[in-house]
Amino acid sequence: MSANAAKSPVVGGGASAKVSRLGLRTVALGYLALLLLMPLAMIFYRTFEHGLEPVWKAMTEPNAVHAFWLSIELVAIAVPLNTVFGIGIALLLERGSFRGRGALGLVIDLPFAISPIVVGLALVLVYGQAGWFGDWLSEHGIDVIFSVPGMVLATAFVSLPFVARETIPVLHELGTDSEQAAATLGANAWQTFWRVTLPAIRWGVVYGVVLTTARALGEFGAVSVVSGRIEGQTQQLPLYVQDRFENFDATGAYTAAVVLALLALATLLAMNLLTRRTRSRRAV
Amino acid sequence: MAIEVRDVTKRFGTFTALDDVCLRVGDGALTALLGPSGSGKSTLLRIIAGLETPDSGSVRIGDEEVTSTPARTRGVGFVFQHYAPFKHMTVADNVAFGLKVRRRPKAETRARVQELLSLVRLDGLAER
Amino acid sequence: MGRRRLPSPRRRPTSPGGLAGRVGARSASALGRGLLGIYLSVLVVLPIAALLARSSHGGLGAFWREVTSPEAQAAIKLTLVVSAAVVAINAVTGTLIAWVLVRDEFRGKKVVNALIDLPFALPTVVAGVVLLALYGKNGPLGIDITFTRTAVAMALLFVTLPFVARSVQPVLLELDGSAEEAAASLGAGRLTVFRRIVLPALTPAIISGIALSFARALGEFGSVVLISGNLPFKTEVGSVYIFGQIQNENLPAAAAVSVALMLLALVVLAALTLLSRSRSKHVR
Repeated sequence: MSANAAKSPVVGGGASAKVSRLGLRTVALGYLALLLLMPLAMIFYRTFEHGLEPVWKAMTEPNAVHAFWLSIELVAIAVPLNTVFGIGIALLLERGSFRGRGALGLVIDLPFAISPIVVGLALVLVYGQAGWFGDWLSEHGIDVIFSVPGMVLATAFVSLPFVARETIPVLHELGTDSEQAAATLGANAWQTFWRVTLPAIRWGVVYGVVLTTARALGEFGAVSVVSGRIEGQTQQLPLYVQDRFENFDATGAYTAAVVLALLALATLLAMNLLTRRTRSRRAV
Repeated sequence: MAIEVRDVTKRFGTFTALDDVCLRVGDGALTALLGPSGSGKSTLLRIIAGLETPDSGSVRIGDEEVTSTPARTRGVGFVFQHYAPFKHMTVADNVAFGLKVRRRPKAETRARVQELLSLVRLDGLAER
Repeated sequence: MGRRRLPSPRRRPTSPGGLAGRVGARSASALGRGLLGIYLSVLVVLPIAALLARSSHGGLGAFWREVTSPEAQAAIKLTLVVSAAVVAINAVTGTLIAWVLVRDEFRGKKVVNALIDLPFALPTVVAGVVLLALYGKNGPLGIDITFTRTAVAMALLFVTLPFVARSVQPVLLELDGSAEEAAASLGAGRLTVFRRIVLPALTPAIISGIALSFARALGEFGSVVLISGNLPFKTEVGSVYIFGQIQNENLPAAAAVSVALMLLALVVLAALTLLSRSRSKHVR
């Protein structure tokens, strides 16, 4: 008798309990199948239904290749920035002394609460032509909106909180003892951080990086607003999916979608493997 | 080296942990502080090690006034209540930490770690 | 030979500051804080400030006019109604899924558990495409939900799936079965046990999951934009309306409706927080 079976009290006989358990399981799994699994399977099927050749052609289409590399570029900038600053935020909140913790907490929670469209709008209102810095930027010939820098900002905004939020509880649990021990042994602040703190929190950081990367790769709404969706220039992969879809290129859209779906599944795998390592309880 | 604590006071908010404490530990002496929970023993030790700064008073080690010297240069060995090991490092790396941080040559570090582990009969566990 | 356990630690008072509290590190820490401040300002604070400024630009009258224009009203209403419905469904299905994952045992449970996070990892636009593959035109089931409100609901159900489930799961895991077993031994049927013993314990987690779901659903864009056809007054949600206004360079309207949606989200979240607090008083 497994421990789990012992947890559910069996009342009124084993048979009816078993039936209701099977019933619940069926409903839950059925819901997941209808909503998640079957659509996902369908898209894989539809993509490869006519063989590998159309898929290969779709993947090697110049705009597709450009979209792919642009996505990589955005991730390569946004993720390290948010990792470094995310750790900094966590250190500030857990080890620093300053007023305005509440405000900082609010700032890092904002990307969760705001619609991605609104994020794009807010960025346009500062860096766009009619925005606060619009005149200054055009005087200096700097293009932000409708150009890659704007997309970097949008991508960084929406993927900002993850490293910070995953690192904070780990830092909290770690406590300051080992850091103070390092101090008594002669380590300066950087040595303490690099040799003692960072290795101790690394799995929280890595998990946060995985979430950040997934978010950055998949961002759609915010980049949609700031990029102008110029094909071959300011379309990353999700925008490319929409572009192909609107141009009735089902294979193109599905292929790009499948690439993104595979990356998502890889993310899930990474998340799952990392959860096994000692990590603090995850906050959704 | 004698340790001398003079007129040390330490408050945390409204809680006074140490009130005008004086203590002198002679060179080579072994001293134990006994007292109930909350009597300020840990606080005093932390002030001597440099992990806390007193609100008033002074600490001298040998001939030097060390009250405002940070822990990392004060040279006081400190054992934490819950040992504070570096859990992500091996036993040998834990022992070697102080030397590595001072950038001592590898050979010297290795030899010293080996010597210390043998002293406490933990040499078999160096790589754990 | 037993070892005597050290008494459990009482958190001794210590000065804050940890890594950053030492003389040598102070200037580095100031530089770090400065950089962090600049990053967060450029990325988050300034854009949000610009948004609030623009939405209040013409005064309360202009704000109200934008927010109550027929198309805006329809979009906001649709968003609220569908989000509320979706969230209500999630409360049930999320709890069910969490229950099955915690209390049941079956082959492949680990895989299912990992898949729950798929909507977090998958780009929103791909979610839309994926749902269309199965439930859209040319889908194998013969159903076509494109251009319907059902499509909007389905997309929102997809993206908000994990919130309640992941919120409830840890609470359910921690629940020890003794209260349930006691109730069973006193003659309570399974449903009664669930209703009177388990559910009250889960309610705060469910409410927290609902809050997150709602905030997410209100702002969702990517999964809805392809599948719903964005028909004004029929399937156009708030975020799509805002996007349209941005495209038409009607930034005041976009800003006003954005802020309106944010305020609505705030009100609902505040209400849910109060509800959760009053609930937990009862449970004690």
